[in-house]
Amino acid sequence: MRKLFFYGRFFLCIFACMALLQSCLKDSASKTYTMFTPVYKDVAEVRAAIKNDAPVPVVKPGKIFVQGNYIFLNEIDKGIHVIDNTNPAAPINKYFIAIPGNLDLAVKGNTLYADLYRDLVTIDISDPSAVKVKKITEKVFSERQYATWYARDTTKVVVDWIKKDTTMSLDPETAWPGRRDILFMNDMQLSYSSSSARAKGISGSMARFTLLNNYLYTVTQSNLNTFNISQPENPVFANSQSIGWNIETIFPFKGNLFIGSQTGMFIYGTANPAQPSQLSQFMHITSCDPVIADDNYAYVTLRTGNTCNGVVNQLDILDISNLSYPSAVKSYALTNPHGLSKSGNTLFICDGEAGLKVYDASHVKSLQHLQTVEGINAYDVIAQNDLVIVVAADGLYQYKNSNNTLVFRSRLSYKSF
Amino acid sequence: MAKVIFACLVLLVVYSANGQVAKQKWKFNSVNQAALLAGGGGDAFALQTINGFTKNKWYAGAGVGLDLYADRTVPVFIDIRRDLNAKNNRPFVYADMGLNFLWLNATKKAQRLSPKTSPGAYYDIGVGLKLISKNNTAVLLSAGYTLKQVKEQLRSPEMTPDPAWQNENYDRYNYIYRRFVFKFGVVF
Repeated sequence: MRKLFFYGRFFLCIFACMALLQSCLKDSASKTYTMFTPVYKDVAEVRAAIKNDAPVPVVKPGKIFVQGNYIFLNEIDKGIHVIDNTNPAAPINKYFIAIPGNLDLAVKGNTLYADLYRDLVTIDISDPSAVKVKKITEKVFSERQYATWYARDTTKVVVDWIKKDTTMSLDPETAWPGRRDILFMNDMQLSYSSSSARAKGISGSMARFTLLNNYLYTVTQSNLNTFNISQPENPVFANSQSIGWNIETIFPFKGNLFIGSQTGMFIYGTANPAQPSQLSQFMHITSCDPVIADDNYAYVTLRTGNTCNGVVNQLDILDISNLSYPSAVKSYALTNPHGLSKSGNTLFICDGEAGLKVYDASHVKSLQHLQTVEGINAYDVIAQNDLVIVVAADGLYQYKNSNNTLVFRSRLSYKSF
Repeated sequence: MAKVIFACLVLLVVYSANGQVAKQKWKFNSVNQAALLAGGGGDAFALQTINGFTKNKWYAGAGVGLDLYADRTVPVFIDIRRDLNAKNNRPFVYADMGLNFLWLNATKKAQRLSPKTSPGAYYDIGVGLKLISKNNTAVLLSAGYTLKQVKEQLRSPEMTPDPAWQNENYDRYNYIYRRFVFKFGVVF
């Protein structure tokens, strides 16, 4: 018992010493972040280099445009891959058109329109092996002046970025959870995918450029820009109007423009094509939302896990038989839906890592699930006749739609020729 | 206040314990302990359970715990300890080494926009006293130094110049927590 008392006092002494010395112990914290440093080239040099180059690997695909036997695939911030799709079972990555800052594209006939940061580049693609720049319309996309919060040197063009990881020490007190919980996302992911088709181009649902009659319509984060392209190789800037915030996508249908934003869908009429006017809007919970439409319904996907602060993953179907009063019909829960496309009564939805899902949309209140193409992280899809092209995380997939059953045809891998 | 409560519990356990030596040979034992952690960021409690085998004066086992210092974490570790003599009340030394897993509650996960985490390091080393009782159980008291590491990746709030990089742009945080630890528990 004496020993117990001894040990008890001994441990109490140790305990007291620890309490006294506790403040000598220091917690530490560090943060590693990525810094981006621009690599510049002169504007004249960049413009002179816009031509057919040898093909380069697809690394970061963005918008996709299908026209005739060609696929025009955006390489985000770098340019456009020209893919010969004469044989969908064996597409050939044929050329690359270097356009720094390019995110979107649209094609009408033999003319390709692409953004080069703030400028609109008009390119004659009548001979895909020898494209020619016809016109550069300057400073029409004002928001592209900025890279993050960094105002570019506008006398030069950023052609690349050097990434470097940097580590800094933090005060554990301020780095601790209670204060770190204040972090919020203040950036918005631009949606990428544009597709244009040569004969009559088809855009993906994630597009920010679209063509309607003799006009090119583009959306930025907040504005709808209109270009008169009645002379295709001489686009004329017609109008820019503020249409809201966090604008993401634009989809043309029957003379109207369906514009997706993080908070809702807007329908603009083009009775005056140079200055579209809003017919109606349908608000939804905050989310990124590509939208497509058919004669009677609009189809909108909402998703989480992105910079749009989305909280739901679902497909919303809206009745647009009266364009002035769109109304909700039904919502369908999905995994993580992105782009979508419709061909006839068949609806194709890119459901992220859950794959490509195919539905019979004959009766919108009871969609029938027909097929899921698993094993691909699908981002956007174009369905044209019996050809279904999917932009996925690891390649450009093509399927033949045979009686609503997709049959695999080819995969153009990224980082490949 | 936590220290006062903990000290009282320790005294209670010490003065109510008495025991006999129990011979062990490749015998399964479970060590279950409560701990007070004291570091630069304050005090916190922890719990541990270690299950392993004893032979002669050596013990080796695998343990898992709950550590409430700063962020809630779950250390998973290997524990090795050695008695320094064969008496009823015998001192021992111990060393733990393993991985530390962050376990955020739903609120914190939502606040931090579902961060990515990866296991950090976990260490613990100290000395103690084993008070063996009649029925082959024992009470443990120990004091030592422990370190845990928390690694976390949060989506960066900064916009990347290339939008394609945004979803891959994470800020990586590395926290090292250094504490004194005072434990009491039972072995059976």
